[in-house]
This record gives sequence, structure tokens and C-alpha cells, in this order.
Amino acid sequence: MRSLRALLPTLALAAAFLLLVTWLEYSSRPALPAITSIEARPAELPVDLGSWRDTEPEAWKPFELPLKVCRIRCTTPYTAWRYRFRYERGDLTDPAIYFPYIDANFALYVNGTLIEMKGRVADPPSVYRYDARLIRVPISLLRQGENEVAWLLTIERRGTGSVMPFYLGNYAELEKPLRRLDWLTDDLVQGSFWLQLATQLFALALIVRGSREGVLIWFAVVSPFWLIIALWHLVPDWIVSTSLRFSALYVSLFGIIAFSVLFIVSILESPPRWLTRSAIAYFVLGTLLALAANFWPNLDGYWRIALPHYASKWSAMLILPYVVFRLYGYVARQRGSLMAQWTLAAALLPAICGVHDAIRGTIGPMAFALYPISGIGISIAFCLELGRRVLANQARMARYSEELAATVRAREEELAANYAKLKIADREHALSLERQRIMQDMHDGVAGQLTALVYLANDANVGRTQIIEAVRAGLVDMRLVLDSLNQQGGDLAVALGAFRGRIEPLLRASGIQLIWGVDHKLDLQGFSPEVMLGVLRILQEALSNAVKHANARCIELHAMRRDKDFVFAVVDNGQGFVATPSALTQYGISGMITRAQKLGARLSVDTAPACGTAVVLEIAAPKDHE
Amino acid sequence: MENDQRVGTPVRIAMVEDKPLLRLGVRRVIEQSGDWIWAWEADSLRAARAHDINPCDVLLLDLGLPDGSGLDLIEEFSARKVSVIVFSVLGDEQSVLAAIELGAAGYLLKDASVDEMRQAISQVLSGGAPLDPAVAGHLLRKIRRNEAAASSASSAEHALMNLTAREREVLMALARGFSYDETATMLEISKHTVNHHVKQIYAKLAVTSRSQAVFEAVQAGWLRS
Repeated sequence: MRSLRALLPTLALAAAFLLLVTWLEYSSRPALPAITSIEARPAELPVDLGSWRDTEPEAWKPFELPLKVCRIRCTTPYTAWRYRFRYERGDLTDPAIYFPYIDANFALYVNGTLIEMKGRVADPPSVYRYDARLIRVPISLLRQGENEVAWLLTIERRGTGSVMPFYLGNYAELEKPLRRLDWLTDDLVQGSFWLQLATQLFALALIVRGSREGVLIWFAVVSPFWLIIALWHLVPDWIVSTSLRFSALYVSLFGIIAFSVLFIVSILESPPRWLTRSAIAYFVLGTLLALAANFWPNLDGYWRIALPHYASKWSAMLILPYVVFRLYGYVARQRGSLMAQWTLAAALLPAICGVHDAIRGTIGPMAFALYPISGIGISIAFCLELGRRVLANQARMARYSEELAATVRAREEELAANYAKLKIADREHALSLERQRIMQDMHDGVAGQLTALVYLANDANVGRTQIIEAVRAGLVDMRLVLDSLNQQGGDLAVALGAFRGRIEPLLRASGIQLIWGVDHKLDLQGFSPEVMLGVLRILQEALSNAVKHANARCIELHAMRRDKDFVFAVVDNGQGFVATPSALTQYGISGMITRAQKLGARLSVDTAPACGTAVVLEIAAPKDHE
Repeated sequence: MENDQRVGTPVRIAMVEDKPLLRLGVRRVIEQSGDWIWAWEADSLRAARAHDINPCDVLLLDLGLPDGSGLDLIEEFSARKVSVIVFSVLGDEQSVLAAIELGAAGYLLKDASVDEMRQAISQVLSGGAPLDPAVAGHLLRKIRRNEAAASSASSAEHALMNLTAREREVLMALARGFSYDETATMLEISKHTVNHHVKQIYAKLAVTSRSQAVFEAVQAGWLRS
């Protein structure tokens, strides 16, 4: 049911279009009785077209309009038509003759005098095209009593040309129907032509800009044929040569049939190769047929028209179901797309026109061929399809954007989660390192000190003072460890300050003077806690040695910058010693050297008996240090 | 003026400490000093609050008490014109700064020598502002952190800890271990001026603490200005 509903726009458009045409045709008929009974007979071209008199070489035959001219054609290309009527003065004040449809060249005579000529009647006959025609009759030509309207009709080829009923009345009564008819036969055709031309130029512009979509290419191919068909109606004699003109007409018809199919299929998908080849082969064969029919020598005039005419007509009738089937498949696939439904409706408009034209002779009101305007359907279908694709692309882009945004969001969340995990892992790693360091420090420092204290306390020879000193040394070391925990990204100069605060009272209590030689402007920021604790421990050890072993009375602590290094020095004025390996081990200097190496620093001892001791630590400035 | 009132009267010293041995040790040191008398001692917050009728001039306050943090007592005793010296084994930045912000007059580590203890009490009693290098280091770090945060934050936040250039120099020197005398010599000012700057730093830190609290409260929407 949904698929059937999808056909509603097609049915609605076809119905609306045919109703419009029917209404225009009906409203183009005057409220006067149509003249359908006439007489006709073969004729010869008069020497002077200005007047034509019945010489009666052959009897007039009665005819009922409408009819095809070819059916009454005689041996000559001319046919004389005649209508006799009675006129009483006062019947018509402004007499006129109205031909709603006359598909031939003609010369119209009233009582033998030429009053209108359309197309070239003289030999060789020129192109003709149907056209509504309202011709004013000079009242002076009318006689009291019997009058005669006669016209010479000529056709270029057998099989073409026809005449509808005509009207005789006052000009004013016939003018309004003529205007209605102009809408159908002129205004609509012109509108169709210009729309097709505009869409064709648009398609070409898109191709020039680099677009190579099938629907665009095939529209650009088929559109010129539709333009030629419209031109055939609008400018009948745009090609002077009859054969060339008819060739152009039928080549265009074959082109329309072949390439419209490809255009319509390309709306749905890329046309399969077999279809493209078949369409091109059909077009080539049709073209050859049209050219052969028009240029083959000594071919009967009837066949020059009939061959390509019927070939195109019946092949179109065969192809049409396939096209309808494909279009219906397209709409079924695009369920819910109103645009697709209207594309189908527009694309089927030429088919509707074709059916109309095929049966127009047999259904009374439908007398005018719609093929000049049927190309508008293809142009509208093209525009709708372009619009549909633009909208579809927009929707796709919006969907892609949403998907992309969702993907980016998901990635960002994933990254954030990973980053958080990494951060936690980093923090845990840092904590683990720090924990390990503190454990190591506690083990090396406080635990070692406490163990030493136990030994000292158990030794009867060790005095209370020594035990207090040992406890204080342990407290100082613990304080160093605690201070180092507070120095995250800190300042070694500040740590040295705190160090001085701890150590100076102890030295003072021992009667030792501390000379603080740290440059007060020295920038010692950027050291890691491990390095800071290491430096402080080395300095602490050096000071402790100076107090315990050197009997120094004065200790200097210096810190300065030397190129890319920082230099720390503990200098005492004590007794000094001979720097043998055993002495270095005894005074803990080997341990200090090892500790310095772990920090990437260099430690040197300058000492001699009675000359004091200088312990110098050189350490590279942190990398980010200016 | 406060100093003048104490002239001729023995200074009363109290202690809140949960370790009896340490209380005993300190008590002996105090009693041996001659000029000072032992007012009372308590081993918890509750016990300390029970002594509110027994006046004292200096309170040696431990932070890690069985029924809470000694920090809770600082404001109470400071309001009674008692000079509170925090006497703790904890030398970490958080507790040091918290104590100063709450109005502690000094900070003494338990491993300080008897001399250091006497010196700190004397300095507090003489109206001085003792600033241990370790404490100065904590302050300096706090200022640096504030400045780093303020460089990417509003100027209002920057103004919270607005030390003068001279105060900053004093703090820097003290944090680097220089004594008041050395600092005065280095900066070519008197020791009295150094002491004045230190007091200003203390005051600003306390003000900053309160401003920070108000600022954060407004930010959090608790107060409506």
C-alpha cells in the first residue's frame, strides 16, 4: 500500500496536466457551431496565388472534419478545400474565420480573393506547423446570398498535416478562445523551452566545474534533443532544407527515447553497461533510419515520414513499460521521500504526453500534440533529483558530523580515562618511589642510629653525654628526612637554611663557631627531594666529622655557583688527617663519596695533619635551571 | 606595654602535652630558670580547657593530643592574651602554617635544645617574633605557590598575600638560614626593623588566611556581597 501511495503524485500530476490541456482545448472553442462538413478535391497551384477560382477539373468530395490531410491527398501535393454558405447583410458585422488547428501550409480565399497565407505555399512547399489562426474577412468581399470560403492546403510529406473544425463568426466572439489556445500552443511551449535551456546550461556549468555524476551527464546529453523538439514547434523553418529538418526531428526523437531512459535510470543507479550500449545502439540505428528515410533517393514521400515516425513511436511504446517499472522501483526504494515521488511524477510526464499524442486523433478533445512541452518533465525531474541529492547530502553530512562528534567525544572520554589512569599510575609510581626512598632513609638513618644507640647504651664505658649526642644526631637525621618530604620541587637554599637552624644550636653547645658562607643571592631551586636530602646528608656527615674527629673550633659552610655546577664546601680548622683509604673509610668519607656518586656529584677531600679539612661537593645544576 | 606589665612578676608557663615524661623534663627546665614558674599542665584538650580559671602567660602547646588537635586551643588562649608557642614534633608545613594563621606566637620543635626553648620563650615574652628558618621556609613556599596560582588567576587573588619588597627580602633571608643580625646587616637595616617586618609578615599571613576564607566562601556562593 505504501508503494501504491508513492504513485499518487504521479497520478495527480498526470491528471492535473491532462485536465489543464483538456480545459484549455475546450475553452479555446467558441460558443458557435463548428463547421465540420466541407468539400475537398485535389488541386493545382494557381499561377497567381492572389486569386483562386474553382475550375472544376475534378468533382468535389464531401468530408467531415477533423481528419488527416494525408487521407484525402490526391496525386498533387495540393488540396483544395471549400465551404459554401449563405450570407445576408447584417448577419455578421465584423466577420472572421477561426482555425483552432490547421496542421499544414495554406492560402485562404473568400470568393476567390486571397485574404491570408501561412507558410510557403508555392512550390517547393515550405514547412508548416499547426497554429491557431483567427483571420478577419473584409466585409466588402462578402456577397448577398451564396458565398465561398476556399483554401489551398499543402503538406511537405505524406502522412503529416490535419485540419480541425473551424468557425465563422464575428471577430470579437472568436478572439477570447484564440487567446486560450495561445497559452497551450505558444506560451506553454516557450516556458518549457526556456526552462529546459536554463537547466541545460546549469548542468553544463556543473560539468565544467568538475562534477561527473551520471544523472548530470545523461541530462546534458538528452536535454539538447528536447530543445530541438521545442524549437521544431516554435521556429518551424529554422532549418530550410526539408530533409535536414525532418532528419533533425527524428534523430531528436530517437535521442530523446534512448537517452531519457539512461537519464532516468541514472537517477536510480549507475546505468548498467548493457543498457548504455543498447541505448546508444538504438540511437545510432534510429539516426541511420531517419537519415536513410529522408535522403534515400526515389523513396516514396510517405515512407520518408512513416518509417522513422512509426519506428520511434512503437519502440517508445515498448520501452515505456521498462522505464515506468524502473522508476516505480526507485520510488519503492525511496519510501517516504516525497521528493522521489515527485521526481517520478515529473519524469513520467513525457510518457503521459507520448500516450496523449498517440491517441489524440481518436479522442475528440485531445487534438494538440504535447511533445513540444513534454521535455519540461525531464527538466523538472532533473531539478528535483538535484535538490533531493543536495538534501540527502546535507542529511548525510549532518549525520556524519554527528557521528564524528560522537566519535570525537568517545575518543576524548577514552583519552581522559586513559589520562586519568596514567595520572593515577604516575602518582602511584611516584608514591611508590617516595615510599621506597623514605624506607631507605629510615633504614639508613633513624634505624641505624637507634641500633647504634642500643650498642652505646649497653656499653658501660660510654657516657651519658655521648648517648645524648647520638640521640641528637639521630633526631637531626630524622629532621633531615622530614624536611626533605616538605621540599617537593623546592629550594635547596631554603633547605640549607632549615639545616642551619637545626645544626647551629648543637655546634654552639659544643663551643664551635659556624660561619655561614652561603651566598644569599644564590638560586638553588629545582633540585629533587632525593638530591636535596643527599646533599644535606653529606654536609651533615662532614659537619659531624668536624665536630667528632677534627676538634675544630670553627666550621665554615659555603655554597656558590661555579659555571654549570654548584659547589658546597665544609671547611674546618681542626687537626686534619692523612687521607689514606683506611682513614677515608674510618671517617665515613668513602660512604660520602659513594652517596655523592649516586647523586651524580663529585666529592673531594682536601686535608693534611694540622691543616684542617675541606670537604667539597660539586653537583651539576638542575637541567631547567637558568 | 605587655612586656612592662610582666616586669617584677614571675612569668607563668603552662603546658599541654600528653607525654608525662616530656612534661616532666620541660617542667624541670622551666623551674630551674628562676624567673619563670610552672602554672599548670594538661594532657588533653579537655583538661586544658578546664584550666581556664588558672591564668598563664605562655602556653607550650602540643598539636597531637589524644582528643584532638592542639590547633583548636590556639585561638582560645590567644584571646586571653596568652602567648601560645606550639611545641610539637610535627614540623610539616601544614601544621606550622595553620598554627601561625591561628595566632601562635612561635613554633618550637620538640627536639630543640633547652637553650633554644629558653630563647624562644624569652623572645616571645619580650614581644619579639621568632621566625625559625624552617618556618620561614614554609612561609616562603606558600607565598611562591600563591604567586604561581595568582599569575593564572584573578588579580584579586594575587592581592591576598601582598608582601612588600622589603618584607619579602627579610623572609627570603630568614628562610635561607640567616639570623636576624645577619639579615639586618645584609639588608642594611636594624635588627628592630627586621623584627618589625617579621611581625608584619605574621599579621599578613593571618589576614591572608581570613581573606582567603572569605574569598573562597564568596566564590562558593555561601556569602552574598
